[in-house]
Amino acid sequence: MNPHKLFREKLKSKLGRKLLASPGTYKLARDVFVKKSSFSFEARKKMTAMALDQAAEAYHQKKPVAWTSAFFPSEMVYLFDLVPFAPEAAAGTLASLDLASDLLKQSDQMGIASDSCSFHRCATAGTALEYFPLPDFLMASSHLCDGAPRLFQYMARRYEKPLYLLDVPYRENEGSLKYVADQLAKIAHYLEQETGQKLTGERIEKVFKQSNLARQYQLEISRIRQQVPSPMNGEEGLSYVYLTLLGQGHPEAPDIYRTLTDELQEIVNNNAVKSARGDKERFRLIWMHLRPYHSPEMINYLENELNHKIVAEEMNHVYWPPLDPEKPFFSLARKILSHPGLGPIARRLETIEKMVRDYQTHAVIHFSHWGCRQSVGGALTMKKLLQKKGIPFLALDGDCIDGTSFPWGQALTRIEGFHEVLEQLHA
Amino acid sequence: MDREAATDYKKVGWFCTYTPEELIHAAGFVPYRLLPHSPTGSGNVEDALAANLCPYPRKILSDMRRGVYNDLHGMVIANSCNAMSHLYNVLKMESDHFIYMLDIPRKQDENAIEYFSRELELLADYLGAKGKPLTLGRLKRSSETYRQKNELLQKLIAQNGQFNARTHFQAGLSGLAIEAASSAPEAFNRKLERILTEEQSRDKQSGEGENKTSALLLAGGLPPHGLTEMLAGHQEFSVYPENCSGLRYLQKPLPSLPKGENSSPEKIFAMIARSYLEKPPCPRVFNSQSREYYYRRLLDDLQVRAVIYHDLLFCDMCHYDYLLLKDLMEEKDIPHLKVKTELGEEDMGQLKTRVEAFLEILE
Repeated sequence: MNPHKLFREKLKSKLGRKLLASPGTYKLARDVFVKKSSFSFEARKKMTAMALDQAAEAYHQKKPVAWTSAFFPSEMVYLFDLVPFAPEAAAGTLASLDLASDLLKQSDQMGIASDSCSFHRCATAGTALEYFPLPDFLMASSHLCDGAPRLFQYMARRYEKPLYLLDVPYRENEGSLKYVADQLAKIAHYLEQETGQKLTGERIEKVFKQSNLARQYQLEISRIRQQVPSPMNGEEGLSYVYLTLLGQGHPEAPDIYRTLTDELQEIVNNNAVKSARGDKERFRLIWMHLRPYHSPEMINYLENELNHKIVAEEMNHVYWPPLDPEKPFFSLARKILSHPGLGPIARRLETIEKMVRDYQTHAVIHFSHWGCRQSVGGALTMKKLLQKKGIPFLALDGDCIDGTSFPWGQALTRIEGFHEVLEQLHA
Repeated sequence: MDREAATDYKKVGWFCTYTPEELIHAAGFVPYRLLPHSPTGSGNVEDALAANLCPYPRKILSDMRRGVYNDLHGMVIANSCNAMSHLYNVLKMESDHFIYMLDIPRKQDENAIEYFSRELELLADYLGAKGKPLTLGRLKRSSETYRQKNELLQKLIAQNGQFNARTHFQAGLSGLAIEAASSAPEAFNRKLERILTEEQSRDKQSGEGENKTSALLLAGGLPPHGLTEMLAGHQEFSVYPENCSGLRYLQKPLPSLPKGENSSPEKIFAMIARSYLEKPPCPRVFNSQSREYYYRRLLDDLQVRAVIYHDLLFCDMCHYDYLLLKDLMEEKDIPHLKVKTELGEEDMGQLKTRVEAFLEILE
């Protein structure tokens, strides 16, 4: 049997939970699968190794483990040399390992409403069934997501561990910058007390330099992907969302992005896009929100069957200015508050419109993850506003984690219908 | 005065109970809480608000589109959840009213109060431009009117709570809160004064000052009218609505207004900010300890016999708040019934059967 398949089968067995909670599993996966598997990009191989190292470290519990919500600034974690663990990202991994359905059933039994976000339902059950490494601290931010801070409150109560919540206002102004910066300073103060580590200017300099360097390479990657044809597709691009969530400020992130920059530039320099991949850019797309983690079918169909290419992802977009180590909390606050998803929808619209222009795309697809009030909630308004500007938009209903709630056939019909519309528009 | 009787005034709609009615009033408007009006679905909003959003803003949009709120002058929407921020986006595109988004902190500490004070200043500037300028005098008068209103409301609740409220408001404490949130405050204060006088003299004559019924807590999200009316009519139980159209609206702290030289608009904004952020916490507030403490106090002080939890569909705050209350109810061995609705009256028949069966068991 294929070792990947064998491993997945083992995870689904009674031993599965023990395997997942063992640091040895992640070391083995790193040493065996990462080394032996073929990756389309060396950068992705490096990122997978980094993710497995982080998981092993979290389960090892030698250093304090901080559970973080998706949009909590990960620089805060690295400033104190904590090991991050993101339950929402873990839910995505569990879905890709075909383990989510049991956890979703468990969450129903626990009284979690089935209309809640399945990332959160899966994470809540994963917490109760002790799939996850024990946290020393929990950190969550309010921006973009109503559910995550509630989930973290529940988990902090369950584990009786300190919880640091970041309240991010709706508006970006002088008052909100101060409000967020003050909260970050307070959290840093608590962490100094809890970890016994003094936050030094040197440490801030180091972590911010890593974050800024990664940002610089991300911008370079965006520039290269704007070329026609683009050297990287969405199947690849969407995997780097992991770094968006947990890589900012991590020492390995700049090298991973640098590697990707070099690889993409080499493809462009060698004019290898077309020859290596064929004409797979019938339509260039922007992908909004996340992707289904339980199955690659949707993206594969779009990119491999219909020859559309996702050339940019909303989640990988660099929207923030560089961090200033002289004003650490203020500049982190500015980064947080500059997120296009905050505030009136005009901000998100403006960002997507600019991406459409910069990447010369034909259309925008929004993956409407059922439980997400923030992103899906705005999809209809986005559709109206983008269509007014002549930008075709498709909202694809689905669920990132739960593969059973939205039949693939429905999505397929909508994708094919959209494809026909694009064909007519560009006949 | 009922909800419809306020139409002679320039009404400004609001949603979240952290919205300072004083400021709307000081600008010369009548603050009017927008609550779901339509007993039926919200089918006419499918093109604007996604089906996975809270039914509260969906129903309001539906009502707006059907012309229910044509007499409004404007609206203050609070950033209370993702669904409300989407409602704001939609209304900005399609409504002729002025629409203002008020940012409300989720914390209650000094930084949050400072931030909220500044937000109130911005709101005051905006409202002043739409109505009358919020001068120090107007701010003081409106603040005092609302302080009086809160004081009267609390006196009435303290004097036998639901028992007395039910005599004057069909839906008991919920009815009181709904009328209080949508009436011109001066007239409503006079009405409250009359009710209090009547109740005091009735107590003296009958010698009865005690409520003999058991306490039933109606917790969870904003309930449909049908549910509150159904429960308010029950003779065996006094219903205490722990929601934003119930106790959390009726139990606001009574701030002391800055006087003399100490008085300035900034100080009044700070005072208002503090009083709203210190009111009984809602599930949105980032302080699960204060929420837990509040629940414990209610369960103990009211000697709650049973709880009905209204799990509002697509409301994440409700969903997670239930987990907290569930633990407390199990700890205290309090029976509870969890019901789900989309704020429509369509499911009332089935809901009634479930609620009655639950209450019969308790009896």
